[in-house]
Amino acid sequence: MSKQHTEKTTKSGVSRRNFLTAVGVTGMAVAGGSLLAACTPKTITSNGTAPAAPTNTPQLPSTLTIAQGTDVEAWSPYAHSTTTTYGLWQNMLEPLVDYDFDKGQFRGILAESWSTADDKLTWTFKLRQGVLFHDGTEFTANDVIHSFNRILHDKDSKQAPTINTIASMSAPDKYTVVIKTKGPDAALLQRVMSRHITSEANFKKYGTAEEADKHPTGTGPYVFMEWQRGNRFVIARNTKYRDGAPAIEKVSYKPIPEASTRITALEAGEADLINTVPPHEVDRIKSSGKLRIESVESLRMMFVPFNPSFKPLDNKNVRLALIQAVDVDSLIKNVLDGQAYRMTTPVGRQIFGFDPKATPLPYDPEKAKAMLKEAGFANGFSIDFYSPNGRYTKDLELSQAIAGMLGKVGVKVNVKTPEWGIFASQLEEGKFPMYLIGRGGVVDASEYLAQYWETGVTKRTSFSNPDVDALLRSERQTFGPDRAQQLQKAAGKIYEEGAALFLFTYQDNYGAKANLEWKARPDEYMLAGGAKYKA
Amino acid sequence: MLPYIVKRVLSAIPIVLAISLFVFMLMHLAPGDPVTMMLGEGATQADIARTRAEWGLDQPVAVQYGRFLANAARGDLGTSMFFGDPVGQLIMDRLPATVELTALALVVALVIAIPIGVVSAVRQNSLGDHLGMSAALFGISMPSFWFGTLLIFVFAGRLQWLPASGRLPDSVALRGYTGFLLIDTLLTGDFRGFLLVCQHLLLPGLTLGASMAGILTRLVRSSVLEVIRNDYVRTARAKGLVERKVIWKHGVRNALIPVVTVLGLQLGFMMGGSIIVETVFAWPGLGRLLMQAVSNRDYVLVQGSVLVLSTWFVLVNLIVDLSYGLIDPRIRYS
Repeated sequence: MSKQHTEKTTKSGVSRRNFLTAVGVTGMAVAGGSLLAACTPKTITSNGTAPAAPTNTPQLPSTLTIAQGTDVEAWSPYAHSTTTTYGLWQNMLEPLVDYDFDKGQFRGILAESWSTADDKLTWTFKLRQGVLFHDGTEFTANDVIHSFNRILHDKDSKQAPTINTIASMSAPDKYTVVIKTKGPDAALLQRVMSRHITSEANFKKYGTAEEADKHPTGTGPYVFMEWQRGNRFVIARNTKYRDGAPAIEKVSYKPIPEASTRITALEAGEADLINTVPPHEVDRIKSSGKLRIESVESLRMMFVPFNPSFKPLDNKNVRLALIQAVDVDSLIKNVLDGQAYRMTTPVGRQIFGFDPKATPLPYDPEKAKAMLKEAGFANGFSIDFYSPNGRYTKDLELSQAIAGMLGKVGVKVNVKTPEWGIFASQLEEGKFPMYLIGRGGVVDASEYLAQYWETGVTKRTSFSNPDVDALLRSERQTFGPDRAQQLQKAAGKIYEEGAALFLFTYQDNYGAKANLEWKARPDEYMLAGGAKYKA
Repeated sequence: MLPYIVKRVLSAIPIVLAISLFVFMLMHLAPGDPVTMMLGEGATQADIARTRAEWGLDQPVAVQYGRFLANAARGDLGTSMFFGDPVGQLIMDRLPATVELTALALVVALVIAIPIGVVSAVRQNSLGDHLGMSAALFGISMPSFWFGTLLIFVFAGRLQWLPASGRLPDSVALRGYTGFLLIDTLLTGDFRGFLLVCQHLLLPGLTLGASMAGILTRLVRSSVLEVIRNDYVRTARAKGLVERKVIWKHGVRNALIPVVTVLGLQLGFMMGGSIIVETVFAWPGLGRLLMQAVSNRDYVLVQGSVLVLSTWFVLVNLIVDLSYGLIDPRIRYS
């Protein structure tokens, strides 16, 4: 009786109320959300908020929101080594030289001209005169020396390796900088490219690097406005810029690490320009009507270095067999939807030192099998292949496909994917027999070739070949037009030796509003300077 | 109660120290090197060695830990190797975003879990119970990465009702006093700003709250089921109390102790564990900071964050223990 009573009251009273309450609360939450969405304008000008574009401006938007996968790391423009962060700073801080990708040569930004002395160690940079920092002070040679010294000696500098061939610097007059290198270094321009110049006067004004860096002062087309870490980095146009003020008034860089969220933010109008659109999402953006894809061949070269200190990779024929067992064209077509450019030499197509006449080894699994048999591996062998996972577009998929292809010639490949922190340090220690890696930010092949294949520079490959060493040394001492040939020869020898399986350079995809005119650079820098909206 | 609190706080000190030592050892034992991560692709062996020395990483681990403790005792958690800013400031900058997100997730979880859990318990094995438990199982089992992306796709992409990322639109700059945007907007009387902040909070809050709601719903149900079978509940009914009072005052209140315990633990985890939600929604909180710190092997920042998070964990558990007395007056602290 009591039980029946309990059940009855339960059913008729409490549970219904509870249920209704629950439904009510949930309903209110949903309705509240909708209401919020419905009643709030996209841009607000109310109390405490920044005003939107002034009403007297034309219909075209005056602001640009750029969403990229990474955030600025630190206040110091020298405390990072991230390509996208270089691009962000370059809106405010300028380098001595930049690379003109259309012409395939360096051009002066803060440097007007440069020359080298017969000793092959002395570089003289003549600086542009009358260039003003954002605070109105004049840019001089001392600012260059101050900035380079910070890069070389700041405790938190992550760019010291880039200019560590510099032995000394001097300023004979206000507009001349003389740099002496430790040894002949014909590729110095690549080293000083992206080395951003900050104001020495500003540094002295604030006394410490920590304080001065919170007031970034450069000579670029944009001036610093605000940085909320993890949230946004805002810059405004420099109305007094020497080449004319840029078209966009205010630019906001927003870090959105997740690619799918970045794409949705673009679709929803929260961002006007985004980077790193994965190949499989390109059609989604193209088909939207209001958006467009801006593509460019990236500088980033993808390759699989072989470490000859691991057997049987010490055998050149084994390395060449592995190279011929991989169908790179198929990888590009099937894994990357055709959005990559095959490397035919160790140097990418847009990089100084590329040899347009070079032809790659053909895909020939039968020949690979025969070569392995000849080398004493008729039954193949087993090897560990290390791959990043999520660092580069479709990296793991590529590694697995390569493993599959090598499996067909009898090589049992174990794909291993340590987390990037482990990967990067073990790579430096030379612990991998073969691994997938990308190298970006290279416009001159000199430093990159030495880093991987010159004896003793790093442990990344433990590769050592006296001919390659001699060619690379001679290339660094060649200051004339013959240097390209020297680099091509060195690269050719590296290729001939089967030092690595060279794959491709990526196609970088950017998503943009259809009415935004903006040109992507191959070096992943997202500069706002040339951007403008069209009617 | 005061002596109890003092005792608990004092006993927490060795716990926090032990955690920090454990994490310190773990970070140093784990493969990977902060300097390699710092210097990037162009570094040579000489550059790496020089930077290691500058950061004192060439010192014995015991010396490094001793230095960390000595500085921490003076309130200096060091300077982040990766971000270049003081660790204390980095954490304080990110803390408000995470606290706001966690608070909303908590509200979402409670609003969902308590009604559904109680209804499911009271109407055990009914259709409502089955639906409620299925929903709870769904909440627990779906990965927050997937759920978050789904919400973004529907509400930000298709319907465009709510924003996909961040704490505020780019066009808005709020005046801030506390860093807590909800509080700041209310303090300055900026109601529209407040609504915008709520809009941005909603999707990440729902995502984070949903999985917690799943766990709590099941817990509330089983706990209420256990309690309403007790003699005192039967007595309450026998003396003629309205069923609503029987359930809420005698049933649910007594069922809350395990719920509050789990809630406290969840709250602790969420402070440092909402990494996925913060990444999907580009939410500038502690979780993302900690993830960047770990993946870049920023020993200093990891160490500092762990110290703050473990202190928070101990604090939340203390509050949970103290709240037992409010729920059940028979509980005394000595």
